[in-house]
Amino acid sequence: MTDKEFDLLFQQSAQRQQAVEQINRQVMKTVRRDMRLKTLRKWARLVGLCFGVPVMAVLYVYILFTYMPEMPQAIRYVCYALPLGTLAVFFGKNLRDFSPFEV
Amino acid sequence: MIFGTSDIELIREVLQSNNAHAFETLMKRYTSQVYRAAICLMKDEDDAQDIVQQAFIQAYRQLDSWRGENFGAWVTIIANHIALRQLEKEKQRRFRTGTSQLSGSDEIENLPDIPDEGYDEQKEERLQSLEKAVEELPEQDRQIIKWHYYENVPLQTIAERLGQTENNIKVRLFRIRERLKKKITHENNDR
Repeated sequence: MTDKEFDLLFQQSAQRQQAVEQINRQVMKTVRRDMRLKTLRKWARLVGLCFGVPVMAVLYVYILFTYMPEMPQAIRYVCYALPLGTLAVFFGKNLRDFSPFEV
Repeated sequence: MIFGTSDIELIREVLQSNNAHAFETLMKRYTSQVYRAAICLMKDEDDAQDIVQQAFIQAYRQLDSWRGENFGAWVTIIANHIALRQLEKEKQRRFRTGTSQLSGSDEIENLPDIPDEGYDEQKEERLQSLEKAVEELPEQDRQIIKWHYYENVPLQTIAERLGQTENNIKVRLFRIRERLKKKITHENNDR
């Protein structure tokens, strides 16, 4: 192998290195964006849980008590069972997805 | 010290603390390996770059499904799947555009492979030999090569960094080059 060929090979290797660095930059750009979105979703979920759920509950109770007297017995039972069922499903799902690594 | 950390620790760091730096370290370890695998399949540098990018992004998004084998091998498998899917799509696209000229009984398998434009297998082998030979050099020699050839650092600066004279560095560089040349020639003759 001549010196010229060897230098050319190093030049190509340096170009390859640049390509690899370019790949790393592009991937990291996407990964950082994904991480930001993940954090944002986590906070949005927390806000939703803290404010959204109580608002929904209050609204539900308000509607229930406003229209309760006019409702037949069966529908009343369904109205009682609905929030309890939702709570049970929510609790079960959280229990299933629980991971000690994410605490 | 994140550079000496094992793959599994880095992955745990990414999953638990959302640490981008940990993923970057992990990726830097294996990008060259995955790229080599991709270029061997795609035979095109731009396509190989796309494949490697997609593979690492997919690996990041599915990181929680990683089950503690070799991370580099895992990403290489993902890259191979993406590459093969892309090649298959390309073949089908060429088949569809070619059906007007072909008879109805022609099969996709009978189509010729995609031409290897811009890809030179011998060049690829030599590049891989060089990278391997550089990796096997002693730490300081590798650093000199990295500064001189990959970062274009002037010889005088290298000499200052290592506390040696410029002539000394020139002699060392010459010897390293000779050693590398011998290794590459030897390896290529073996193939």
